[in-house]
Amino acid sequence: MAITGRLRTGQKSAGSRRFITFTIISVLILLFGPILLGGLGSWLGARFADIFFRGSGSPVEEKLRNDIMVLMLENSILREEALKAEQYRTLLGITRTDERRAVPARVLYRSEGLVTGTMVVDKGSEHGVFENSVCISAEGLVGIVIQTGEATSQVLPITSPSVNVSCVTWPSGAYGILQSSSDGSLNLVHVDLTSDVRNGDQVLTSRYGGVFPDGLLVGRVTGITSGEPGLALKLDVEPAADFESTGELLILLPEDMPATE
Amino acid sequence: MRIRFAALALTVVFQFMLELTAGRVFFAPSLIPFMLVYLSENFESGWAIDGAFWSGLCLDMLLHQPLGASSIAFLSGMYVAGLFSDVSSGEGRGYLLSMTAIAVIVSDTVFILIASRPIGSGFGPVLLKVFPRVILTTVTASLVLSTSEWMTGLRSRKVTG
Repeated sequence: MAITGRLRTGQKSAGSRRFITFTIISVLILLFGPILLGGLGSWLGARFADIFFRGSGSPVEEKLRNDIMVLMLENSILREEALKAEQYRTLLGITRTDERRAVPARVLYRSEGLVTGTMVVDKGSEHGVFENSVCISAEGLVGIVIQTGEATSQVLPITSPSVNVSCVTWPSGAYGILQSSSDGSLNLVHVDLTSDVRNGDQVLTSRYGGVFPDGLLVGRVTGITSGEPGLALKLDVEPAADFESTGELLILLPEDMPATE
Repeated sequence: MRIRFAALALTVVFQFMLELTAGRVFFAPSLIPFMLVYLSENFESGWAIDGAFWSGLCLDMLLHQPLGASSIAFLSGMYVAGLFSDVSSGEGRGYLLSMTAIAVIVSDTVFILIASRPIGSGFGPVLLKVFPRVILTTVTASLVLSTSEWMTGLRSRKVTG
């Protein structure tokens, strides 16, 4: 191996200057390289995106972009509304109705008398209706299915004396049993004397009883009297549903029972 | 000139592949200082500076190391190797291998110190890893030189014969 030269770094002044220059550049790169490279990378990335992903700028494209933005905004508003509805439903205690399937039904006719009479609807067992299914209308709780045929069902309204419903007043929170008197009026009995019930309070189905889902509107408190023994309150309740004019019902099927339509 | 530049570039790529496969940093021989010493001793001395800077920069970018750390390390190594060449008058393979060993010791030590974060925190037992690498590099350089001498001898015999 012929070694013809010598490493002359540090011997010649030109070499020394070059060495110092490159060393200074290296130190500067070491200190500021990441910053410079980061900025350069961002700039190159932006140019790259412009080259390959720049839109055509046509009016149609602009309109579509605007439509997408509007739809995104609407979507976010709807999501917010759904969230609020869920919160309100939770606040009202209507937590079980979501899990139940419902069958819409139309009232065909009524048997004689509101107190002892029943309503016959056009949905029966072939539609998935079972006995003890709860019937509601847009106004509130209507009654309960007591008999089912193939295509029709009999609904006993809550004004019937044979129907007792565990209820709670809102916002006072007093529990009681909803009963019907012989004259067809509704009363909430066995209400705690110390409860702060006021006229106008809503009467809702409570979570006790097991037949009726909680949170269904039954009516409003219209009067407060002491019971016979004087140990409980008796509340007069005006039903929310108008049983005479109700033509459409919603039959809530028992839980885990699929509807046929 | 182009052939030498290509040789140095090839060495950088080979070093990159070695350090990726054989070990992160200190389990592969450091071939770049050897190549720089070889080029500067046999051709222009400018290779010791320009080559150190650019090959270090490329290696740092390839290995995602702190940019400029290898450049400073190689420049330092070549500077100290140059000081050694000033005080020695040796020639031949031993001289070249000694310069390579010195360049590797200095460059690896400097690299550990400035590439660690915070800078200088690598000072300690980690520096001992430099010596196995120096031995590995010296052995590799010796093999390369022997092979090249043997090949040169083959070519000479063919031409003269």
